[in-house]
Amino acid sequence: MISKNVIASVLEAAVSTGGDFAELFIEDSSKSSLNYLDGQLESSQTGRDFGVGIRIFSGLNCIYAYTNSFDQDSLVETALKAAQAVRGSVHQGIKVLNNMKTNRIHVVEIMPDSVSKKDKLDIVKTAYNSAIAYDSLIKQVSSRYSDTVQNVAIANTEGLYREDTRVYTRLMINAVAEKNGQMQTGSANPGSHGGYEFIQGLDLNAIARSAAATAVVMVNAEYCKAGVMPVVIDNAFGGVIFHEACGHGLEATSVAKGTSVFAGKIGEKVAPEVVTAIDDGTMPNEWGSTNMDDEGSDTRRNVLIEKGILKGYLVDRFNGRKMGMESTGSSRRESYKFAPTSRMSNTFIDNGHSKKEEIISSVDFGLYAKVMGGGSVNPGTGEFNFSVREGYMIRNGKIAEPVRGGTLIGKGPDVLQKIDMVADNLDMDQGMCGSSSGSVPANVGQPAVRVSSITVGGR
Amino acid sequence: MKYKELAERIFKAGNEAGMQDMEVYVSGSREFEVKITRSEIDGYKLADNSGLGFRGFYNGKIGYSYTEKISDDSIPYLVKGAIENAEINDTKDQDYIFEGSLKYTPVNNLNTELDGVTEKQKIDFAIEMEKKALEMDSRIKASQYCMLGTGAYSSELFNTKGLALADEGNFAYAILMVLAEENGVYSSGFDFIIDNDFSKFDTGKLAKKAVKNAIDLLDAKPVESGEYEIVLDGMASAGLLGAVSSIFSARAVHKNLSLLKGKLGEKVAAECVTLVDDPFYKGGTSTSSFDGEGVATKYKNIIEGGVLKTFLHNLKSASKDGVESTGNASRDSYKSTIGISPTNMYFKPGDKNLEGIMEKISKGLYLVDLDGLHSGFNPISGDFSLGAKGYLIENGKVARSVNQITVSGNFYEMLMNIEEFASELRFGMGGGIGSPPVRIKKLSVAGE
Repeated sequence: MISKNVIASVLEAAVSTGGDFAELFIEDSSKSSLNYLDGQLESSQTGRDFGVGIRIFSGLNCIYAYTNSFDQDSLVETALKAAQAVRGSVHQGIKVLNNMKTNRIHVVEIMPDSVSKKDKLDIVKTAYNSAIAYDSLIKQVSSRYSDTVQNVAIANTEGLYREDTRVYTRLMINAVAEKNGQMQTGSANPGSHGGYEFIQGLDLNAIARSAAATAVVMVNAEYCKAGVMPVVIDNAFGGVIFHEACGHGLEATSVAKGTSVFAGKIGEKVAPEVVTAIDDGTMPNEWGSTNMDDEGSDTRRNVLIEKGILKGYLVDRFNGRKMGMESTGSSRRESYKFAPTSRMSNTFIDNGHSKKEEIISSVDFGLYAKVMGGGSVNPGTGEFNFSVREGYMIRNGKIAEPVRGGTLIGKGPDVLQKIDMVADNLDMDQGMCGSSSGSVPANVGQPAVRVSSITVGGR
Repeated sequence: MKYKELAERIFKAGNEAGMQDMEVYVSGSREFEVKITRSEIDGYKLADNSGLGFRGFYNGKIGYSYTEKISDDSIPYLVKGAIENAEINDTKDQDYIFEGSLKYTPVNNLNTELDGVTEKQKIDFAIEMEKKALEMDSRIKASQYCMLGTGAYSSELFNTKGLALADEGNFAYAILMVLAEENGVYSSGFDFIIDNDFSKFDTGKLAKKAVKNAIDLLDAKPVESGEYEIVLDGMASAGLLGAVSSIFSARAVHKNLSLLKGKLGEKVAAECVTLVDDPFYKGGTSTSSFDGEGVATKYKNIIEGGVLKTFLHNLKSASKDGVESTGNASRDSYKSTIGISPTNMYFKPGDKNLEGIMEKISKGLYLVDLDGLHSGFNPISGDFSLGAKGYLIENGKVARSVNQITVSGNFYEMLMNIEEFASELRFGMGGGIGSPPVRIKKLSVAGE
């Protein structure tokens, strides 16, 4: 994308005022998206993102600059401007850039930019029609498709030079059911770090119907009653609870500052023995995977919690400096516009030994959260909230009537301690995770789990 | 105008490829941001960002494309992309490339004094803000976010109907979030300012507010579940309004995504509710004399005395309804296709201050923070169920602090149940959406 000679001169400029490390992140991405709504094409877009991010370390100070310019003079000028913020003195120089091979774990058969827009339109139309036809209560459907081909090159003053191509394809169905002036929604959003073959392999009908089914069940449901009760959270997107309530607190971004409730707790018991949690950026073609992270380190399988004991954090290069820890291949960023930091990839609670049926039948009165919605957390206090997208009451060990509008709130470390049963039906789902380095694709996952007691908001 | 000639070359290439009316939109910004942790520079960012959005008609249908590589090499890519998108465009609605309004109300978003603030002053400001917060109370253990940012932006719009418009402005912001701890209990507090007048930036004021918010909630407890009379702080109310803002868009109405459909001229809120869309609001983050399609913006009441007066329109939705565009075509960036969004939208303030509207409440809650707006709020149904923090009000006064509760309701019902607004209008972090504190007859609370 940009020649090695130019890269070397930009890196030289970046450390010319005494910075002890500098890195370039060069991105050239093409993106395509379509949104089919109300029986017609609402929007379709084609675009190219192009830019360069320059990062300089000086001890525990970090400087980041980015630009859309691509000629040598502008890049060197940007680097020099950023370097002015460095208060170091010794000029360290840079090592010769060595090509490092990127091990392509995620096989792409069909590049999405080689597929015509017409074919992509057929996909969103088919899904749209299936969802609309599911039930007469379905009044509106949005069927969206998006793909990204992100070409990156990463180079640093330690001599690293590495390229990668990340290919993302995703379908997003959102169905709205309406009854007596009330509206409820359901969605399904399958995505892959993979080529167009992922889209071709989807059962469009089944995906569209599952989104519509949630909307229909919920529009027929009564409001969830508020209270403190046991909750069974089912698999796949249910893993958002671990992602939000614990995962963010295990990112070095908050651990290094000492503002995470998990700071200084490695080796301590933070969860019951039934809980093992993993972040694995290497899973082939999974949404949160990459061949290498955004600092050019190989991604890894990181065990976060093993049988209830806190084993490790997710660490990037800069926070690793502060913490005296090595990178765990967890440094990510949305684009060249963001300095990378430690982020989750595919994060999940591992399978346990209980059966889902057994967990349901263990609850006399509680909530069954079949499909979770999104949520958020304050990593400092651990306080979180999640919405329950499709929920049911559990009465006398049986799944009873559907309830809408439920919310789960609590504190991450507390709720983690209250996971007392874990099933064996691990599954994953796809989301976009937002944090200080932007919005990145991330998988959440878990088997069905029981939380012995949690505050359920309703009305 | 910097990009006029490039735009003309793009139009020429489009024309040769068989395109008809076309438009080029270029926007760019230069930004600076510093983040401080324990007096050290934890983040330091310089951004120089620009991009070009293109759209135009091909066989009577509109197609879009964009690029961040602004150069003549990108012209074939832009034209090809737009044609490809136009070819699959099966919309039944009419799109427009606009010839221009007769009159544009000038706005001034540029404060040249901001350019005189040096990088050192900005860094020192952030360091001092954190330091003051940490020194204010020994229970403040760290700053979670402490940052100061400034930026300048410009945009240009050209089309083949001869329209050429330009806009520019600048801004600064400071954000402080602190973490308090006492006996193993953690609590965080927050404050911010966005303005292009740096003389309004006060480290002490920001630190004091963030610290108070954190300390006050250290001994917070839930309240009993039940229905409570509620005062929502301006920021919290603005957050709710922002999350639901799309319901005022005519596009959402046409697409059956707004329950306000068919309610024009009807009462949709209590009589004290007037909802304003003011593109000329001084210091507003969405202040502009023209919208995303180049249509002149205008001041309007969306809701007036509780009655729904208008939806927000762009040219496409307006032509469908046989009305004029309200100047609300949105274009968040060169990457966006044209949509509809409010400019500076806010609930009109009342006369009494915050204390004044709490006075008559014998038992209620004053909520300062709502969590989970992007997940616990269904903007289509209006249902919300959100984590909340704040204070218990007894006999018109704050009695103690409250956390670990959820507050639930429905936005449409809530509009009807609004009793009054206080006088202190505040805009939220996202910018553009504001509210004063608001007293609501009742909302459902889940606690103990």
